[in-house]
Amino acid sequence: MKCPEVIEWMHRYIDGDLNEEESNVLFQHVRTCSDCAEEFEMLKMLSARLEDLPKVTPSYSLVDSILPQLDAIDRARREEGSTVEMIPGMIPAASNDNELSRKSRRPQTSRRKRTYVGGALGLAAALILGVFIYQYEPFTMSDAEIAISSNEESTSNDTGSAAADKAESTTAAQDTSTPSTDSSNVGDNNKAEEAGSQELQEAQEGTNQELSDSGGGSMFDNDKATDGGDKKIPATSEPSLSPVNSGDKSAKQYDAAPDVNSGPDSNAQQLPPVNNKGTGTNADAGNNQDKSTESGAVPSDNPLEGPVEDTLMMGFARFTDIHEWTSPDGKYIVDKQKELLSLYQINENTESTERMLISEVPIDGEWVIGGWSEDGKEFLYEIVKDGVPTIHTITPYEDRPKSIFTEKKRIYRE
Amino acid sequence: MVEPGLIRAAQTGDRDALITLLREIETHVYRTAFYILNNEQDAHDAAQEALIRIYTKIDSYEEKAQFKTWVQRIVTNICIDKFRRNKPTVSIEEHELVFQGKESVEREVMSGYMAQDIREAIEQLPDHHRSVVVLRYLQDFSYNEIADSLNLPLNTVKSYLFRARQQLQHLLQDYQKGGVSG
Repeated sequence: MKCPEVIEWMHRYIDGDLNEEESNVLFQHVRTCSDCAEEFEMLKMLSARLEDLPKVTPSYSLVDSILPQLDAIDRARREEGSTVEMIPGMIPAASNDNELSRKSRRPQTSRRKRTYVGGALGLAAALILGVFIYQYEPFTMSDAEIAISSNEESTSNDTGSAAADKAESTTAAQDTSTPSTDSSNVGDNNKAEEAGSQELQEAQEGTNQELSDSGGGSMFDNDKATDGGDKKIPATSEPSLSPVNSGDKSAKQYDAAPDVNSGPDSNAQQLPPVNNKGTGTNADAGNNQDKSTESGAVPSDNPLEGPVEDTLMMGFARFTDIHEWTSPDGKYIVDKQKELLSLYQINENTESTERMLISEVPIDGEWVIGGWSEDGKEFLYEIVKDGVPTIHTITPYEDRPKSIFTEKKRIYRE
Repeated sequence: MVEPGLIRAAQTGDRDALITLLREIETHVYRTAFYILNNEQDAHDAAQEALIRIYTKIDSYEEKAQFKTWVQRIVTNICIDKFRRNKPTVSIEEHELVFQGKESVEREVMSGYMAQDIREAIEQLPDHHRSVVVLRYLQDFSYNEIADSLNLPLNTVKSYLFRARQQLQHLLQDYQKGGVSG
């Protein structure tokens, strides 16, 4: 028996993979070979050290800490199943982020920052509505816009009570939902986030509080300014937005929309999530949102370092069924149909915007998330197939048109 | 480890059973995350994410696999995919299967290992090697269970584990000599 073979047997011995006979052969060799004896000793010592590694335990109950999120998942599931699976990834990261970045980022009060935060929150509210409306086909984003804008003007009077009402009308797990419905907590991002999957009503209120907190630099303001008189916000507070009993709230919400929708405005363009769909006309207005939306949709390497708005965006981007992603420089659009992902190049003329199909790739699995990388050079998306998540990349900027779609399997493979 | 009855109850929509189930596995999930990530905060985050994923995906678990390997697959995937991107690791080839170990100094060196050194050394292993070590030593998994968890062939598991141990020896020797590699 040769030494290298013996060494393999040593490892197997350590792992309890040798039978008695084989063990004896091993011992026999080790007795007569000092090198192997030495090696054997060291290996056993290393293995013993590894076995003695502290059996660490979490410093708090992880299950308790995720109970509110699990409740949110349940609620979302009860309302509609398909969007629920997107929740888990973002919540823990997002909630951590919020605390961290609130501490560390407060001092930065640049206008841009405000815009982002305001935008993120505005978008959050919009996306919540988007999800909501998405459940009630056909969804038109005008509906969402109406709800939001009317909500903007009708809040504050009933903030606390509505939240409380909702908490009570929520059927399951009332005890654990308390933190998120604590109305003293409305300024917290967590609030909006919690509410997002929880109750539309709460979400709007939480978010509106945020909007005013952040100095009014909201995305909506920007939009209004840039879009000029083109689109008007249909004012008036909708009766459907006052606390209604859970069951018919949704229906009412939806019913209310078409009335206002019959107006001539094309409100859809005002809503960040569908901004990409708006063609050239509001490209400028869309820049900010595009940026935040895109970068937010990419799973960040280290969530702790990611800016809060990114995480929020990521969370809510996952929530909704975003179908298109414009690259940060506006030159490409990735469009997701049911089973197909298409890459378009955008040619902007003075009058119109044309799309040129560059490539298509089938989505081979369950879509999880997608978005442009922070440098805007790659489109990354994650799908799950047979329970195994994989990351794929589209790199339109590289000079390799034939291999635009590459696949990076980050998961275990042979 | 976990009662099959509990798993089945959880799969049929018994929420309390599912929560109980999560409580039973949370330490195991956390421990793997902790040793793969070598960072308490990241480990908490990753473990929470894994638990939420288990909560939402419990329906997709099939009894032909062991529950504990299914759980460990989820947590290792999350750790590697989400939390360790772009972190540097030592190429296993740098320490490719070189056997020294003649000097008795090395024995003393071995006995001087500190847990912290070992954790740092583990962190420098490539992802798969580290995962194999963690499952072997922190979860007491057999070769087969590791193979199931990581979706790797049995022989690959063995070779990863053997190489990882050899690399750990070399890394730890480097620490002891004062020169930290990596």
